[in-house]
Amino acid sequence: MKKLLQIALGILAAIGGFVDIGDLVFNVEAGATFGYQLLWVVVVGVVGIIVYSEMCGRVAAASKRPVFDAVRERMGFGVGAGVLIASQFVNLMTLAAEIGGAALLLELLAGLSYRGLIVVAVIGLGVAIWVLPFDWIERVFGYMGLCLLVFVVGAIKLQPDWGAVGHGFVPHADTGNFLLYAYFAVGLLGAAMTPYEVYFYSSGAVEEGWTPKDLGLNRANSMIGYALGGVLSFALMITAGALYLPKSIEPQFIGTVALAADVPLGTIGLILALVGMLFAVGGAAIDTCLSGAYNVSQFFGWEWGKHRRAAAAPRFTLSWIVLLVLAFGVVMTGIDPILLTEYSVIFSVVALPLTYLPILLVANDKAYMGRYTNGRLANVFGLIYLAIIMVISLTAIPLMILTNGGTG
Amino acid sequence: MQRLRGLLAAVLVLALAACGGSPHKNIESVQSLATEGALLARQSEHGDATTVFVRVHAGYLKQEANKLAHALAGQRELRASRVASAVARDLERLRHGAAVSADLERLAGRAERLAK
Repeated sequence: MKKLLQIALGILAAIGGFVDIGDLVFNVEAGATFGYQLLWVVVVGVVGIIVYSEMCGRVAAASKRPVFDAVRERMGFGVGAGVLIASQFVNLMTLAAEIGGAALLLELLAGLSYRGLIVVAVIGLGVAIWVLPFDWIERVFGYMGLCLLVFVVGAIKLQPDWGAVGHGFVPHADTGNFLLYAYFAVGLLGAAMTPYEVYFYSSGAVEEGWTPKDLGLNRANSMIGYALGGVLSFALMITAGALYLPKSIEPQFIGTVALAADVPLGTIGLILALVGMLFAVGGAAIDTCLSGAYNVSQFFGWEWGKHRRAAAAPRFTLSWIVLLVLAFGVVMTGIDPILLTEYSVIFSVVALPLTYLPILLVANDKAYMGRYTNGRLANVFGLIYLAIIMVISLTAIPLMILTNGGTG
Repeated sequence: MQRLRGLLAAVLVLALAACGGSPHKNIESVQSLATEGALLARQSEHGDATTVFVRVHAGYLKQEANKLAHALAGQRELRASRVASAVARDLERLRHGAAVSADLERLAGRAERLAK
């Protein structure tokens, strides 16, 4: 019974923690531009993150070591350093975007100045990381992120054409602007498979002391949690497709995302949407920040982990503080967080092979995994996704330039 | 080396071309802002949104409308620029609680006709 409860709580946290600012921006923009046509891409992205998260969790449970540790050891300093630099660059951009998004959401809730709220957001995140134990971080932000389910209710209340919604799960492109369609497809995949997610998942498994006995928990968390989390992405896209596409509204602001819940559900819908988005974005900011500190600590072989006191892992603690301060500096330059989100997602797509190839290699390494190496199914999916990742990483930047950053 | 320079130049040209919207794109954006403003205004008039949300979100929409008004004036699309300025004025009134949904819908219609 206790085990079932643990699984249920983990799944709930995974659902609430699935969405970050990249998902919010790309799903709503895609829905407003192409209606339901890109729903199938969300399915592809969700299956991808399930496949690789399960692999990462298995690596952590079998070897008791996180993926980055294994990457450094098995692939050498040069490759490891390349992966580290790319992932830290993407992490910093993503963290800055999440902090900016959190400040914008606080502004929409409280009406205070955006710059002042950036300071509030950074202090709040810093205190949360410092004070809360690992599982509390996961649960507080994951459970509060469940407020985003308001978009599921909103999507139903808007009474979309369910036939067209169903057709959206079948790959097709009824558009005269195929480049823009491809840009959003790449962005949606990038938002669903952001590198920090797998690094955080893997390190989290070590933080929580997973063993091979927890492989069932790993599968349940990654498969059910992420799959249900994907429903939030569907809801965001369907809401935007039903509300904004017919009115030719191009969402450019985070407030436009919240307005999509306000129109069908009124003030209560608006408040739930804003609170859910705030916690989803705040949780993602913490995941990104810790992920950066995990990566650098694991690469250099420092003591790391939230389960250790700050004094017992000083360089790990300093790493996340430095990342938070750097991201604060980036947001304070006045850069538009939505624009930064789009760039961070597209640059994360470019770095995806550097994240996912090493995971696949380590998960196939018998010396590391023993009898828990990838089975045939995991390898087939892993290779298919690696091919997809290679293609989108090569096309991401050209598409961003050719579509003027998705504005057509 | 020359090939690399050529490639870099091509990327730069594409990047520069990507900066700033065409007049048609800008007019479409004005229509989008006016329509979204009208939607927000209607929610506000029905008491279906918090005053803080309306004030802050209308502020962002207004800023963008002002930017578009300047851009369109620079592109010699003076009628469209005037529509964008009117949208910005209505959004400023919305920030202070005025009922402007009908005005913004009318302006969205004008922007749509100009875009055609």
